[in-house]
Amino acid sequence: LNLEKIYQCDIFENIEVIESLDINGSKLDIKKIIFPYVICLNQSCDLENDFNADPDKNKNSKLLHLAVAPVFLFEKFLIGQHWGDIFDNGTPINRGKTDGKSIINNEVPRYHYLKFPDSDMPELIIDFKHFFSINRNFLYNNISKRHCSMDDLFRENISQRFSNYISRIGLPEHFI
Amino acid sequence: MEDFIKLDLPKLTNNEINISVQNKQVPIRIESSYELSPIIKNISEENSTVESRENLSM
Repeated sequence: LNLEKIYQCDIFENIEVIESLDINGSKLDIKKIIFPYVICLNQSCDLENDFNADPDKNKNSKLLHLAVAPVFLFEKFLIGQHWGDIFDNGTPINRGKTDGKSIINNEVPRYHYLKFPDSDMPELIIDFKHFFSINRNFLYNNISKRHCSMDDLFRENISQRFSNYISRIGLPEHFI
Repeated sequence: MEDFIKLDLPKLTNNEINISVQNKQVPIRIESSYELSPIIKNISEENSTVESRENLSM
């Protein structure tokens, strides 16, 4: 593991994202959101080529932004309060009932549930629906905020579920 | 097979980040406002070009 390199499915903590920069008269108003956790969703090969690219020779391999998705504490997610004050509370989910079990078993395409063997790591859940991009250099400058990296098999599982989710085709409910 | 590798990371020092670390339960929106310097204010009011920015900074 190269500690200077970002890998697919690396989880970062306390990542700031600028929402808006507005100039009002003589004031600059900045809105930003600090995400407790985000996960990098780029393909391994793209991250590899970006990291190894010679800036003078291989400009097509460089990445401008990285794709990330927010990762929430599962306990907050279950009670519908995982977005804090940013969005209204969601419907509570009972982990022992069908909807909760489906999410924990990763049967709901939108979400990916993560449970770690370390007792100091809480249960987490990725929400693929809210993926966004973050400046590549910004994330590299904040690489010290990397919380953990995943093993290959788990990376591929997350990556495949993300690609399945974003390639889904929504059909109308009523056919004519 | 280990399913993740935990890294030894340096402690965070930024005050604002420390605040969020203490509360890192949910995303937090932070709104802040800064007074612009006269030079930037002129640029923003006049919608100046790069050339005029250079003039102002001279």
